[in-house]
Amino acid sequence: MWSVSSPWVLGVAGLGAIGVLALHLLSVHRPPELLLPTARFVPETMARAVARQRTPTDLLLLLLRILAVLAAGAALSGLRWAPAGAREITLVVADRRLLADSIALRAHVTRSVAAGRVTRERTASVSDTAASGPREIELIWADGLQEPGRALPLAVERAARLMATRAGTERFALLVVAPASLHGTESWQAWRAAWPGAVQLLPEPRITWPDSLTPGEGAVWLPVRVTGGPPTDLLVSVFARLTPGISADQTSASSADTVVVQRDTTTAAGDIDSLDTTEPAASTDAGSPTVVLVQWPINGRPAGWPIRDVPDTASAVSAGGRALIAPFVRTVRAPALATNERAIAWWSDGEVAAIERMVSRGCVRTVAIVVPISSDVLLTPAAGGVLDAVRAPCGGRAMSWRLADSLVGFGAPDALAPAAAFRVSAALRMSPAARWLQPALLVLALLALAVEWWRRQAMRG
Amino acid sequence: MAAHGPMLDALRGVRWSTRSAVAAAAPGVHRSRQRGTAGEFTEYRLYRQGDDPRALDWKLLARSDRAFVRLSEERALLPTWVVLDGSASMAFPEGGATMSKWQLACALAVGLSAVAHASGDPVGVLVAHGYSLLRMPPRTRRGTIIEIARALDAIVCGGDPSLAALVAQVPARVRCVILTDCLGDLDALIRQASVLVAGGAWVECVHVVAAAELTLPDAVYLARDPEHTERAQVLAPRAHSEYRARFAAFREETAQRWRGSGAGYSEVVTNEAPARAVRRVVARTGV
Repeated sequence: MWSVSSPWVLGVAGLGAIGVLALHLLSVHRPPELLLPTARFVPETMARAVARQRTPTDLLLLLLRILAVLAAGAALSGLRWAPAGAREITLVVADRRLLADSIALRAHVTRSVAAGRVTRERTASVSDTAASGPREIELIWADGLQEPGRALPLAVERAARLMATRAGTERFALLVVAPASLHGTESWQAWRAAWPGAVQLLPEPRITWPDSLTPGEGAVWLPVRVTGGPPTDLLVSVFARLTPGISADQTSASSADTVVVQRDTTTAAGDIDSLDTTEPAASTDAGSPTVVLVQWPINGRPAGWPIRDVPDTASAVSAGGRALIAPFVRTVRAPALATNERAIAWWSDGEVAAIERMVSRGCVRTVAIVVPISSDVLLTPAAGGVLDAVRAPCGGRAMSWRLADSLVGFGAPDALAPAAAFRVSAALRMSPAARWLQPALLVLALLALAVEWWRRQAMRG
Repeated sequence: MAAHGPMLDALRGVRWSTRSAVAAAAPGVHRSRQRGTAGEFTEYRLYRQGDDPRALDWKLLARSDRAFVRLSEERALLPTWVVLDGSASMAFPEGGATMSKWQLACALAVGLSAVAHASGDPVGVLVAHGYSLLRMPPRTRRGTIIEIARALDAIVCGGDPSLAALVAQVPARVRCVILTDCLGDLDALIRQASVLVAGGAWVECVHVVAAAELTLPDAVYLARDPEHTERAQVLAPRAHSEYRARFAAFREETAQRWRGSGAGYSEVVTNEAPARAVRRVVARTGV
C-alpha cells in the first residue's frame, strides 16, 4: 500500500509537471534560419519569438521532464510502500505464562467472544499475527500481568511498530487477558492515559499462580534490615523511615518474618545458595518464619543477570502500581523468567527491573535498579511502589480482580484508538522493503534529466 | 556550355569597341594611340632624322623638294580580363527556382568573353572562390570561350576571398570587368580598381543583385550571413521596409563610389535575361 509522508511536496511536484506541460504549449522558439547575404541590412530585433501551440512539439522531451519532476517530488515527499493490511487491528495482551497453552487461550478468547464478554466486532479470531480481511489480531505476550498496567506500554509500543510497517491501519482495539488476581491497580491508572481508546478486559482461562503467591486480600509489610552497604546507604534511612509507619496488627501475622536487603553481592551469593532448594509449597513448614532475601547490589548488577553490551538509560521504573520517574542507568538485562519466578518491577519500556523467585523457605528478590547512594529519589512518594514491592511478603500484595468501570473505561466504551495517535519514530518509519524506493526515485529523476539533456544536445546537433 | 547557347546566339554580331584609343599593342581592331604606317593614311609629317626612309612620300618629295613621311592610324588589341567573385554570398539563392547570383555572373562572364573574343580581343578569367584561385590568361584562339565556360561550371562558391588581391594581379592597359555582389572587401576593391584605372585600364564593375535580396519572404526568419555565420538577425515582415531602404542606400553609395574611382558601374538583377544584361554592359562601356 502506498503512503506519502509529505503530501504537499507531491502536490508541488504535480503543479510543476503541469507547469512543464504549459511551457511546452507556450514555447519560446527560434525562427527558421534563412541564409541571406544582405543580412547586415536587417534592423536589430529580438532573436526569439514566442508562439502558442495546441499540442507539444516534442512529446519525448515533455515526458522526460514530467517524469523527472514527478520522480523527484515522489522521492522528496517520502513516498513509501508497505504491505496492505487490515484497517483495524486488535491487540490482545496475555501473560507469558499462557504461552505454553496458547491453544487454550485461543479457545478461551473465542468462547468469550461467542459469549459476548468481548465486543464481537472487535475480535473475529485469534492468532499470533494473522491478517483476516479488514481486521487483524496481534497477540502480545507480557510478563507479570498481575500488574495490569504492564500491558498498556507494551500495547502502545506494538501499535507504534505496526504503524511503521502497515500504513493502512486506521484504528487499534486493545484486549487484555488479565489474571484472576492482581497486585494492584495503581500502575493501570498510571499508564491508562497512554492508550488513547477503550480497553477490553478478559479473565484468564485458568489460574496457574501457586497458592503461596496469592495470599489474598490485604497487605502485610515486613520489617527490613539492610546489610552489606556503607553506613551512608540511602536504603538504610529509607526503610528506617518506613518501618515505624507499619501498624502492629499488620506485622503481627508473621512477626518473625523479615526482609533482608543485601547490598553486597559477594555475601549475597552464599545466602542464595543456602535458600534456593525446592518447590516452595511442598517444603515450607507452616509454622516456620518466611525469609525474604532481597539482593539489591549497589552497582545494579545482580548475580545471574546478563551484562548489557551498551548501557542505556530508562526514564522510569514501575512497581506496586506507581511509577518512579528518574534517569536510571541500566547495565544488565533481565533473565528469562522461570516457572517459580515473577516480575515485581518494570522499566518504562516494559523490561523487567526486579524479579522474585520462590524458594523453600521464602523467596529471593533481585533488584537491578541503580540508585546512587547520595540520591534522594527513593525519598519521594513515587518511590513507594518500588519499596513496597521490596518489603512485601513473598507472593506480593494480592487483591481480587474485578471488572471495575474505572479500570476499563476511557471515553466511550467502544471507542477504538486512532492510528494517528501513535507516533512513529524515524527509525521505524522506513520498512526494509521500502528503503530502496526513495533512492530509486531519485536515481530515476537524475536519469530522466540526463536523457533529457542528451536529447536536447542531439536536437541542437 | 549548352546552357549558354541561347545567350550566345542572342549576342551574335555584338562587338565591344572602346570609346577611346587604346595603347600600343599587337594589331587588332581597336583604334590605337600609336601612329604607324598602315594602309589607312592620316597625315604627313616632316621627315626627321631617324625615320624609316621607306616611309618617305617620294612623289611629294619630287614635287615639292621637301621630305615628308606618311602617317597612318594603327589598330590594336585590347586584352580583356573578367574577374569573378566566387565567395559564399554569390551562391544565393541556393536551390531556388530563380537563377543564383553566381549563375548569373557566370552567364555574364561567358557572354562578355564571347563578345570580346568576337572582336578579336584576347580574353582571360580570374576567379577567387573558397581558398583557391582560377586564373586563365587572355587568349584569342578558338575554343577559349568553351574553356572558360567549363572552368566556371566546375567552380563551387564558398568562403570570403579577397577580390582586391585578385584585381591587383590584372596588368595595366587592359579591359577589366569585375562581376561581384559588392558584399565583400568593397573598400579595398574600389581602391585597387582606382589604381588600375590610373594605370590606363578600363574597369567596369557589374554589381550582381539577387531578386530575392530585393523582395524578402513574408514569414519570420533568422537571417544569417553565409560569409559570417556568427551574425544572425531576425527578419520579420515589419522590418522589410527599413531593410529595403538600407539596401537601396548601400547600392546607391556603391555606384557613386565606383564611378568616383573612374570605373564604370552597372547593376544587374538575377531576374534579368543574361543576354540583355550583356548588351547593356557592352553598350554602356563601348562605342
